[in-house]
Amino acid sequence: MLDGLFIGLQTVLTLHNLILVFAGCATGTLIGMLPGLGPITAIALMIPITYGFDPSSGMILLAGVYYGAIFGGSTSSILINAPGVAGTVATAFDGYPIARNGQPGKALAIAAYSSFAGGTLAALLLAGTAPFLADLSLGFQSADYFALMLLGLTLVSAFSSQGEYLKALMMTCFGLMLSTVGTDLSAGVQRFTFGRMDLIDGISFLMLAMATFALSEAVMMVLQSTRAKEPTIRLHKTSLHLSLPELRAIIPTVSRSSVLGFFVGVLPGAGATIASFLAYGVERNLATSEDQKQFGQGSIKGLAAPEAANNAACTGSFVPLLTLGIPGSGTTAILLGALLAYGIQPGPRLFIDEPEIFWSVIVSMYFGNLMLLVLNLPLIPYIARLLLVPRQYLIPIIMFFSLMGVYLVSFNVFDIQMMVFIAICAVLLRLLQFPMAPLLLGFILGGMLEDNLRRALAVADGQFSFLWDRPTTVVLMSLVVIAILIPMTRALWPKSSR
Amino acid sequence: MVSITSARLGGILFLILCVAYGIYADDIHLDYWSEQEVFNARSMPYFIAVVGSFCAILLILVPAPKTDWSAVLNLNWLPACLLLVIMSGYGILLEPLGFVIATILLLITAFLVLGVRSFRAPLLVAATIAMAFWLLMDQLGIYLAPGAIPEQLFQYLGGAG
Repeated sequence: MLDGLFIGLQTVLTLHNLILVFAGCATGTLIGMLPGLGPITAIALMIPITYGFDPSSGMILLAGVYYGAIFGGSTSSILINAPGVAGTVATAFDGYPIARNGQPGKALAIAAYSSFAGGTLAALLLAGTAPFLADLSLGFQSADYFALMLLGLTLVSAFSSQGEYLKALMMTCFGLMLSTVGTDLSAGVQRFTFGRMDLIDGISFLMLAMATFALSEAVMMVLQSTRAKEPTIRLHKTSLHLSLPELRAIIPTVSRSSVLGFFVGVLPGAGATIASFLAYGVERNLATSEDQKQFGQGSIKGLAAPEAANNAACTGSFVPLLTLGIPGSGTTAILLGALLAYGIQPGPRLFIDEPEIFWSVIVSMYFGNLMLLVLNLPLIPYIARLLLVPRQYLIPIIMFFSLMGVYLVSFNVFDIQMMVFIAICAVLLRLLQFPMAPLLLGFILGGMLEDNLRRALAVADGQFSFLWDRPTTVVLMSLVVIAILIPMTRALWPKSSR
Repeated sequence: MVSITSARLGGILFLILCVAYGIYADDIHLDYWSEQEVFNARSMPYFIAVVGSFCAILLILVPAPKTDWSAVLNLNWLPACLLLVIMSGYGILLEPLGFVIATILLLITAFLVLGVRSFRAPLLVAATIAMAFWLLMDQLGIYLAPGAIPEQLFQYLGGAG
């Protein structure tokens, strides 16, 4: 592990990569701060820029964008009570009241310190657990991978919000459908191309991510622009100082929430949202009756818990991505897509074949969190001015960068038309309350799922016995069955499960 | 009476999509040997079509909370639809008009559609973004074509001069 950390430090501690960490954090904060735009949009917008970099630098930048966007989302939650992403909704419960009580600087400082502690503890846990998991998964075969991918897809649906299970499952199927468009490389035949040359290579994941997140977010902002807005809190001459008793009060909260957040983040599909709500709930239950009354009114523990947990969960979500090549969330799905675009196959071999990527991502997380604290926090009063830019200007600029991000990769105007078409479908599906992340996950995993199923069948002479031949596959398939049955039962018989 | 909820409407749309997808899967061309294989290029699409149809039927049949359609109908539909038309127009005009002119047009029309009242500020912002982006791409060695119409215009003006 120490050798690995040394490799990671060597890669990250170059001026070029340190600048990328800072640029990623700052850009992520800027984009994540805009209500409605979360880490997926931020990463999607930045991917085209990373195509000129080596894979390590590209991943360092994108990882920086990821936690920068989470931090930015917390900032808008605290200052305007408009969480950029679901993962920072719990931050607004106590962050906004603290800010409204005339202490916006303190609220931002608590968020930054808790995020830093959560991210750092989780980066250490990641460095400790990832190589172990990678070693363990080296023995995986195609059948195990097939079962693992199926588990990833079903868990994402299983962890979707209550009552949305069937919708999430449906969107996963839709993502799988889109993944079959183009040439089937193993047979060399075209599928669902409708005779169009532009579709022979399939739908690009970047286009799908941009259309379903960045563009459709922009259109949704316009559609919902009549909503009443909370007043923006000004940060002029605010104090970012925290007293020693306040720091002492949040240290146990932050430690508990970080560990909880990390392990929740490791679970495919669970992610930052569940982690932050869970940490908030745990801290409220653990608090004294006097402290409990403060929750929701401006409790510093109520702010520190979700902040530490959501950052730790973001780091935790890298565990299945880096060790198994399975994204556990929409954000890590898009990072997986970026890795594939760089020609890197994530999974247990990444740890052996590309240790500098594996370790530089882990080390860059620590430096990213440090930069968010040391450089971003003092800059927040200036960065927050972005919230004052009128939407009429901001939305078209987001639209332009989304369109250019895709056009500059292919130089094909068909992609722009396709993007608009996908964005229309995405907006309609959002209005029908269908979640988008399972679509992206289904799309990214679809090709790999099919390849592994084909390989497993070839090894087993065309027999489906590969599903119960190996203990690992049996365990994973049993988990798949559980992940389907439990939420399905709840969806079909909602009253009996209460 | 069965009410149309968002889940039910989505289920109906997805059922149509899954059935159409399954039918189109039949059109995937396979040679004789591939047809004999247990798993071929059609297998996965068939599997997805069946699972997707099953989910769609469940979405239609399982009771779901009522949807407040009036909230959906009262959204700002006109500017949102106009933005989508503008983006599609950008795709059509990008090659003939070239990057700079098409981008300025995209941004100005989008600013105006979203309620910017003056003309000078949008023009200034749009022109600055388009030129700055074009210069940045030029510095990075990425060629953005000036467009067929401006090119012909320059040629004509050059010839006339």
